[in-house]
Amino acid sequence: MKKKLLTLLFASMLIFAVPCTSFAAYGNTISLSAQGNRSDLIYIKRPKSHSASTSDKTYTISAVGASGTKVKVYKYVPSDGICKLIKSETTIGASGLYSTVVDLTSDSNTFVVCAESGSDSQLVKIQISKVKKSTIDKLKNVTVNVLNFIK
Amino acid sequence: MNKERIKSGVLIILILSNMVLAGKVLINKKLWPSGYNFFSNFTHVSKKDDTSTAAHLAAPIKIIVNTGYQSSRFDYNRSDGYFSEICDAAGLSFSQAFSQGTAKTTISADEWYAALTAKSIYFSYPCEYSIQTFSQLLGINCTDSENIVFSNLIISDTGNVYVENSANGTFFKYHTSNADIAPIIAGVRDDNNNEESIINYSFDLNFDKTFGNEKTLLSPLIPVYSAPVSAEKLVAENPLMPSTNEFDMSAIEKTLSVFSINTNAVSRYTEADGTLVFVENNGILKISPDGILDFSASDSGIRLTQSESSDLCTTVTALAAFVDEINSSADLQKDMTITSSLADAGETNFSFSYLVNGLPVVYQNRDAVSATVENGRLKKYTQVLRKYSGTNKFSDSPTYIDALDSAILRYQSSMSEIHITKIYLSYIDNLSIGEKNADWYVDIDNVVAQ
Repeated sequence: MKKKLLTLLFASMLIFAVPCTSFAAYGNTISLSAQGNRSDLIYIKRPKSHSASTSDKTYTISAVGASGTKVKVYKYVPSDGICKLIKSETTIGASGLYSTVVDLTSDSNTFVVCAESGSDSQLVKIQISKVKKSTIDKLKNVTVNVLNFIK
Repeated sequence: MNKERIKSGVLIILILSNMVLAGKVLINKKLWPSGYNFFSNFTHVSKKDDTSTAAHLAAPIKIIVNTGYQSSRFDYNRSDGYFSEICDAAGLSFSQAFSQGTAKTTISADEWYAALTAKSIYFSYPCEYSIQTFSQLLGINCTDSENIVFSNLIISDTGNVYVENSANGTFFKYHTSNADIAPIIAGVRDDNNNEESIINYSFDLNFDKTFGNEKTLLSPLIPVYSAPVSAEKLVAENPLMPSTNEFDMSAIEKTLSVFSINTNAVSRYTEADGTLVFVENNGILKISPDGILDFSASDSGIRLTQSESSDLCTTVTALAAFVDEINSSADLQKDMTITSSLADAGETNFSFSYLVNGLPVVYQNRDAVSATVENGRLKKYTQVLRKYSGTNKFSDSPTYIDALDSAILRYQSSMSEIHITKIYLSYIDNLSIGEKNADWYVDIDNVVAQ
């Protein structure tokens, strides 16, 4: 009888715990391969193609989402093989706008923007490469020359 | 002995003349390291003291020095040391561009935005100007007859002048050169070498383009600050009513004289709410206890310009001088900026805002000064009588996006789209006497209802 009660108790705990784990908010670390269950909670406005190159020490990521959406930013740490939380939770307000400045500590930087709304979540990977200013200027010249050629 | 004295005298004269001539050459040829002008500190002091409204009719409200990196853009307003130096250098570029028949080409919007991301200086003006009135205010003989209206200008590090023509949404580039701009940009970068100032323009973050169900659209040149901005707290006072319910009559008499009202001949009474009313042949002037001065001309009005057919530049300069006279006679805040458009030559209504620490003071539903001038005569004039002093206490503004959220929250239930034209740090004064914090002022142009 006692065994049956215990089994029932564990079973009921399991029933309540399973949905809780799928609704759980992402913690201080996430796997780079983690995926959300939605793709329309947040729209990354900068960088539009989710990757960019800059000669700056920092980069401003911008996005839009519905009011009430919670946004966090993680950075991939290659030595640990995981993404660590670098920007704590911010709730998108009435404007729908979100922007945050991230530090570019290495030449190749991978960030994961995590948007959550209730039980739904969306994870967007962003790749920012750091290049020398002279390289960017050379690239701009190439673009201008190509444009002149087309004209 | 006499011979020795003559020799000494000649030697002293020679040494003195050497010093005078060397000094002259040093100043005229600017023989100091590039980007560093040790005389500028003296000119800044003298120019900073010149707070007259008339002298600043063509002055920008904000300057952003773009050093080529998004993490190092620096903004300056009229209270900052660099402001005068930049304006002086810019004057040379504007003079070349608008007065010497300089070639100009139409450019794409992308080239205009590219100029802002490269090394350049961005000038944001408090109102729209026609190119002719702007030139006239700067003492430039404008040779460009095209209908160009603008409130934003850019000068590249080489001295090219970029203009956004808000009359038809086109962009121009004047092919000018100015060797003074690059050293200023380098100087600003070197001075702030250890500081990170992240200012993104709205177009950098694509906040000027909507996506999907997005409701908020920002004008492309709105600077978006990544961190809260610190500003000094102010204390407001009405100098014409230093203590509760007691007007300073000597200050009021001085103010009345500016309106050519003779205090001996004027008929005077007090309204139920405590408003002082002065009635004379040329008009009625009221001063309310909360510090609002209101003048209405009953005849042809107060003559401001010599000719009845004066142009816009002459009219607005005369009005600004009149405002300066009132500010001086009533001991009001002296630093002001024009806020009404100077784009249309037939403009008759003008408005001004007070500036404190280079930031505008904003009142709900009114301007610090609003005036109507017709045929060179002042017909109506209203002014908020205020003087502001610093408290030496500083407070951080809310974050930029938080301020935007609060402003939009008011319209959220009924709007489908909202257009934000300006967001700027200002002192918002509800006309109460006491401490004022700097806060973001959000200028909404258009709310598209659901």
